[in-house]
Formats: sequence, structure tokens, C-alpha cells
Amino acid sequence: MLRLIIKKEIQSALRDTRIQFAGTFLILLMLVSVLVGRQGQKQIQKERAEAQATMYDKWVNQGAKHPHSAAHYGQFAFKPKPVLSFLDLGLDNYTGVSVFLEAHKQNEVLYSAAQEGNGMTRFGELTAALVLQVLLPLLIIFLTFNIFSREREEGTLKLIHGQGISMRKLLMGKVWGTYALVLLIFIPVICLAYFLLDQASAGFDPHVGVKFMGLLASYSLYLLIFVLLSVIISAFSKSSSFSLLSLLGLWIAACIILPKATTNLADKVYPTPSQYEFRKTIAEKVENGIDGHNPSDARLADLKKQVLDEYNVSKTEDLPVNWRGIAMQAGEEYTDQVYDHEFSKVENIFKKQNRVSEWAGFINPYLAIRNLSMAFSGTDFHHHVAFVKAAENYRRAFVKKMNKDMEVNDKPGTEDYRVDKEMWESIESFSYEAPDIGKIISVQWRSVTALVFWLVALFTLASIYAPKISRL
Amino acid sequence: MGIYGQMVRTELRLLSRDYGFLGLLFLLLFLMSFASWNTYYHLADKNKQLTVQLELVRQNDQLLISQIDSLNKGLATYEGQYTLPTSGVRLTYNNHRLSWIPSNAYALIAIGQGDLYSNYKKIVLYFNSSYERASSELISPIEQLFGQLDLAFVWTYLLPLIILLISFNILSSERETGRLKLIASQPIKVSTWLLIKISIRFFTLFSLLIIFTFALLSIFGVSIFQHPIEFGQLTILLFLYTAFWFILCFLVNLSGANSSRSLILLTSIWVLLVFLIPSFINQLGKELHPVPTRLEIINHHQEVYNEIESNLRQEMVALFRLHPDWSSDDPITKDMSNSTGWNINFLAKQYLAQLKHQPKAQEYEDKIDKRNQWFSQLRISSPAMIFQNALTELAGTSTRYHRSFLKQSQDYAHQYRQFVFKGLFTNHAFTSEEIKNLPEFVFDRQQIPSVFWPDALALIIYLIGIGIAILFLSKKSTRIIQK
Repeated sequence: MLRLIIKKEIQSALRDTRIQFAGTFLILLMLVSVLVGRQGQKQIQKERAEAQATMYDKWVNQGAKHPHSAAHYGQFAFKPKPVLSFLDLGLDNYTGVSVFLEAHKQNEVLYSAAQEGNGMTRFGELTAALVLQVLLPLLIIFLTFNIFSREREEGTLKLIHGQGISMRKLLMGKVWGTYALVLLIFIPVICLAYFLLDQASAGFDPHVGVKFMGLLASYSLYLLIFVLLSVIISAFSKSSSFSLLSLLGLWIAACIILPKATTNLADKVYPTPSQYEFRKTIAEKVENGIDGHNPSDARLADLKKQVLDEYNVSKTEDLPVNWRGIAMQAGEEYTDQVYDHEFSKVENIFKKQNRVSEWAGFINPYLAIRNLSMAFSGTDFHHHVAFVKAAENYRRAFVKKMNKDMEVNDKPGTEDYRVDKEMWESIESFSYEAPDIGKIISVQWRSVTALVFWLVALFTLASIYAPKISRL
Repeated sequence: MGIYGQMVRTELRLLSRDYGFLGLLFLLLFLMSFASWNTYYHLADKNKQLTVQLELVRQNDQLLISQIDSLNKGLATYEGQYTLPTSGVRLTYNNHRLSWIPSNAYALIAIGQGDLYSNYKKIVLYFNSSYERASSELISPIEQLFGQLDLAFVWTYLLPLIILLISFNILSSERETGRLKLIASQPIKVSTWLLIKISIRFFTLFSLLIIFTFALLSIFGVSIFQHPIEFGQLTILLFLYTAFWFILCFLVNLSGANSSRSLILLTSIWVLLVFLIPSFINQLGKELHPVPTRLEIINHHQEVYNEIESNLRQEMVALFRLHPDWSSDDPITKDMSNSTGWNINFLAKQYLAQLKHQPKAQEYEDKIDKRNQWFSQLRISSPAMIFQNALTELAGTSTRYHRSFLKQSQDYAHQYRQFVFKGLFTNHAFTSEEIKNLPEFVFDRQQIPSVFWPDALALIIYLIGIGIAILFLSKKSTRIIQK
């Protein structure tokens, strides 16, 4: 019986010319967005890979110079364009592209596409994520708003009930029938996307296949939630108009109003410091110590005493190593501690803000899928932080190497000490591996749970209240 | 009282008892209040940051002036050029300037690009990575992605939805309840009857919208009476945009579709105009006008700098030929062991590199401007894009405003740099009077021509377009309704 109901639902929907038109339009829209997005992703990734190679080449061929000058000459780290970003751009337009790595300070990741862009970008971009998260649910609403109410209005519901068909079976038949239609729209895009997956980019993201499956599973759950919700609301609405109005109201609240309201409120609850306050605190802590009672002069004097005692000499000129190299590395390490301390504070504020939208996934499944989609596509905040940390670790390692070389080889009495290509080549070009699926799920467990919660809650609701449908 | 007057009275009475209509109005007013509050805090925070920065500059200048006075009176002595208050080196490194974009009177209506950039820029005399780009604040990228809930968002996105929800079934509900025959028997054309019903909804909503906007702007400190023209412009824009959606509802009602079909059709049009067309244009703009990576610019600057370093003697000759008043016979200016001499050499290289790099940097900026121009022209594809653009322009938070601010900041930085370098390069002792009269930045709004009328005109053209469609359809409507 269930199979018959599913078959009937699919057949009647496929006969509806409006559904045929809307379905085809959405499929075309998704195909175009996937193809154009893939082309853009490929182009940007190529540009960034070339930029990374060019900058490394410049580093290697910078000529002979003092290692500390080289640390100031610096290097660039370019963020690889995530392979799956062609499906969901996520934060990619709002986080920077490259960071300049130099001695003494941790720079920001700069040149985000949004800052170079136009106000029109605020309307969003045509991506598969936009279609799947916002437009496909709207189609589900159009497909299902009268799936029960029409039967009720036409009097066929009583007829069906009179034939002894269980309302639970009828409801589930309509759910699975609609879901099958949704999958019919969703699957061609998924197939095309899988076919377009760039295995060559697996160098910095070997887990891309698993992430793609995660993305697929998340969207499958999200769309099922929307189907269930729409069918349930239709089942308990007295008229088609009421059902449509309720569903559209929910869609507007979930997809249009709440996402903005949630993030704006999160910013008010967990305010971020200003750029000026942030930089000022770093400068003050570097100068006066993290606790405010350890000034740089005193730190340097302590270090000097410690080094002189270690080598059993009375002045730095008598040291067998370069005192400036030691002092600079100690300064670097202290500055790193300050940066870690302050950056982690800001990062925690952002994480708290993001957590609000993660918990809000229990109220609004759109927020849950938005977070999961960005995470699996490699375009969420955690991926950005992972890149920033990788670049910073690289900076610290290469600056340390420069300072160590200076300490050991630029001994007192050495005139015009310089190192050459061999040294520059000993530092490998920056590379970065994106977080794996385990890390993503450990960070996004709230969003995963929110989707599962919605699904369980809706199935339970459907199961408990289905027998009451015929009584309305 | 004629039949029309009676109709208006009855309709107003019905609306005042329609909980759905009242609920939606209440929702709109609630969202507008939340949006105003949200924007008010955003602006207050920005203005607070700006005040802190301006105060910092003032305190630094004040300190320098008092130190110059103490030095001149022989009350204090200073060792080295970095601390000597009359030295150009001290002025270069310790007393930065600030360029800032003051909030427009109607900034409360749209945050626009304001969450991407700071409203001030630190002007320093030495080259750094922020030289060519706008400053930004620490803000979660997720918040930037979702955007800000401001009045512009409520009006552009949600107001049309509320209009659709209160007007989609005016005619169809009458047919579905069987009252249409009764209306058709009245001595009034059905299309006129529909027009009156829609007009009442339009004027009720529009009046409340304007009253509430006026109240909110006043509560949140917008000086409407000092800027009546802008309020007039805002009223015209709201009138045109609201009228567009109401007329669209009139057209769909007139098509004779049932309630559900009307709502589906109107929602689809909304999705098309607010989501699909703008996002498609964004995508197309990226493909047709790709902005090259900044890498080329960074590389070019480094190359130019290296070139100048390797040819320094000739470059310095060229510099003094360009600025003869910067050249000096003072031996300190030539002494590289002295901080003045060293800094003249260092800053001259940066200055020259900047001059040579400028055309390349400008090429890049021109490409961005070209793309923005393209986007700006294509906004006519959707009334939502026109309306949103008009609001951000009125609020002074559009891309054009920020780019003009950046350009004006760079021009000011160049002017200030030339002023200080003239003194520094000739080892001039700066006086407290000169510090008091350092060139100040003033944001010139006149450089940004208003686009209010083109935007208003584009919305009027949309209205005329739908008007023609209505005229065409109204001939068929009687037949459709009779069916």
C-alpha cells in the first residue's frame, strides 16, 4: 500500500506542468551554478597556486643577505581555494586570501573578495548551496502545501479513510513520494558535482571524497526535514491557502529573517574589541609583559644575565654566539605568546558568536545545514582558522631558523655576514592541509545533532498525530 | 456619500478587524524597530572608535606642541632626532593623521558596506601594507556573510513579502467564497473595485510606514528637520517601491488565478527579483570583469623599490629635480649615521617607489571601478537592486562612498607627506604653530554625484511597465472574472 501511495504521489506531481517547469528550472539553475562555480574555483586555485610558487621563487632568489634582513623580506602564504567551495562559497568572500609572513609580527589575512567587491554582492551569489538551502525548500512547499488539504477539500480524504487505509501510512507515503521527487531534482546535480571533483587538488585536502559524502548526507537530511515539515503542516491545515501561508511564513522566518537576526544578536551578546584596542593591547603586552609587570627591558636583562652565566663570560662581545640572534628569538617567542594570548581571545569571541547560530540550529534547521554545508565545503570559520594557524606556524619556524643561523654563524667579529640560496631553499614552500572529516564533525556536532533532532522530532510527531488527520 | 466613499469606509473597517493584516503590520513595525536599534548600535560603536582615534591624534599633537614650547623656553632638553619635538623624524613616526568619513544624516537606514570597512583610516608617512586599502574592524566573517538586519534589508526584502501576503487573494478569495457575483452585480467595474481595495491597503501601509519611519528616525537621533530633502527622497523611494509591489499584486489578482496560485506566482516573482537576478548578475560580473590578484601589485611595488635602491644616486637627483624645495645643503641631511639623514634616505626611497608604483596601482583600481560601474548599470535589472542601491547611497554607506573615501584619503596622504617631507628633507625645525596648522582631512561629499533621480526614474519605468501590462490585462479581466 505504501508503495502505491508513493507511486501515486510521484505520478500526480510529474503530471503537473507547474511542477515540471519549476523542477526543470531548479535543475538547470543548479547545473549552471555548479558548472560556473567549478570553473571559478579552478581558476582561483590556479591563480593562488601560481602566486604561491612565484612568491617562493622570489624568496629563493632574493640574493645573498643577512638572515634577519631575509626575515623582514618575508614570505607570503596563499590560502588554497577549497575544492568543494564551488558548491558552497561560505565565508570565502569574507576571509582574506593571503598573509604576509615577516619577523616580529603576525599580520592579518588580507584582500578578501568582499572588500574588493561591490554592494551588490550582498544579495548573494548563485551557488548550489543557495539553491539547495533556500530555493529547493520553496519548491517543496509548492509541492506539498495542498498534498493533504486538497484531498480534504475535494472530499477524497474521507474516501481513502473509509477504505481502511491508515493515516500514518498515507502520511508517510506522501512524505516518501515527495522526497523521491526532491531527490530526482537533487541527484543530477550531485552526480555532476562528483564528476567535477578535482582530485588533483587532493594535495591539500585528501579527505575531499569523504567531505563530499558528508555534504550529500547533510543535504539529504535537510531536504527530508523540509518535506516532513511541509507534509505535516499540510495534513493539519484546514485549507490549502492556510497551509501555504503557514509554510511560506516559516520559510521566510527560517531562511530570510532568523539567520541575520541570530548573528546580529550574537554580536551584541559577545561584542568584539575594536581593531585599535586589539592592536594596542598587543603592543602594551609586548612592552610591559602579559601580566603587565614584566617590562621588555627587564626581560632582556634577565635573558642577558642567563646567557652570560651559561657561557661564563661577562659581556656579550665575549660570547661565542651572536647575542642579537638570541635576543631576537627570545623577543619573537615572547611576542608569539602575546599574539597567541590575544588572538585566542578574539577567536573565542568569534567561536561564542558562531555557537549561538549552531545552537539556533535546533530552532531553525536552515542554520544547521548552513553551518554543515560550509564546514564540509571547507569554507567555514574553522577552516579559515586552520589556515591562519598553519601560516603562523610556518612564519614562526622560518623566522626561528633565520635567528638561529644568526646566533650560531654571525659570531662577534664576523663582518657583513650573509647567507645565500642554499639557506633560502632549506625552507620549504608553504603548504597547508585542510582539517579532516573527524575534526569537522567534532566541531560541528551541534549542527549534526540539530538535524538529527529535527528528523526524530518530526517523525515522532507524524507517527503520534497521523491518526488524527482524518478527524479534522 | 457615494458608492466609492462607502466602499472605502467599509474596507477600512474590515481591515481594522483583520487580525492577519494587523499582525503583519505589527511584524513589520517590530522588524523596523529591531533593525533601527541594531543599526543605531552599529553606528554608535563606529562613532565611538572614531572619537577615540581623533582624540589620540589630538593628544599626540598637544604633547608635541607642549614639548616644542618647553624646548623653546629652555625648560627641557631632548636627545636624538626620534625624540626631539621639532624634528621631522619625530613628526613622521609619532604623529600620524586621520582621515575619516563622517556618518550621513540618514546612516541609520542602511549599514551597507559599513561592516566591511572602518570609518577612519590612519595616515602614516611611511609605506605599510595598509597604505592602499581601507582599514577594517574585527568582525566575525559569519556576521558579514549573513549581513546586517537594517532598515534597508527590512524594506527591500520583507516589505514586499508583507505586501504580497496582504494582497494576494483580494479577488480570488471573493470568488472562492462566492461573493464575487454579488460584487459583479454592483454598479462598479470589478477592476475598479479591485483598484480601490488595493489602493486602500497601499495608502494604509504606506502612511503607517512613513509615520513609523519618521518616529524611528527621530527616536534614534536623525535630525529630519535639518535634512528635509533627504527625508523627501526616502519617502519618494519608499512610495515607488511599495507601489511597485502593490501594482504587481493588482496585476496578479487581475489575472484571475486562485489564491494559492496567486501566492505562488507572487512569491516566485519575489524570489526572481530579490534572489535570482541579483545573484546571477553577481556571478556574471565575476566572470566578465575578473579582478586580478593583488599579487601583481605587491610584486610590482617590490620590484620598483629594488630598482630604486640599486640606482639610488640618480633617483635622488631626480627626486630633488621634482621637488627642488626639498633639497638642502645642511650636512645632517646627508649624514647616514644620523637618524635624520638615514630617514631622508629611507623615506625618499619609499616616496619614489610609491610615485613609480602609482600608475600600476591605479590600473588595478580602474579595473575595480570598471566592474563596479558595470554592476551599477545592471542594477536596473531588478527593482530590489535599484531600491537597495538608492538606500545605501542615501545612507552614505555604498561602495561608491567607501571608494571615494579611500581615494580622498590617498590624496590627502600624498599632500600631507609632501608637507612634512619638505621640512624633514631640509632639516627644518617644526614650530608649534606649524603643528597646530598641519593639513587636515575633510571628506568632500560633492565628489560623489547623487544617483537619486536615476534610481527613482528606473523605479518609475518599472511602474509604467506594469501599468501597461495592467491596461492590456484589464481588457481581458472581465472575461476571466466571469469565467
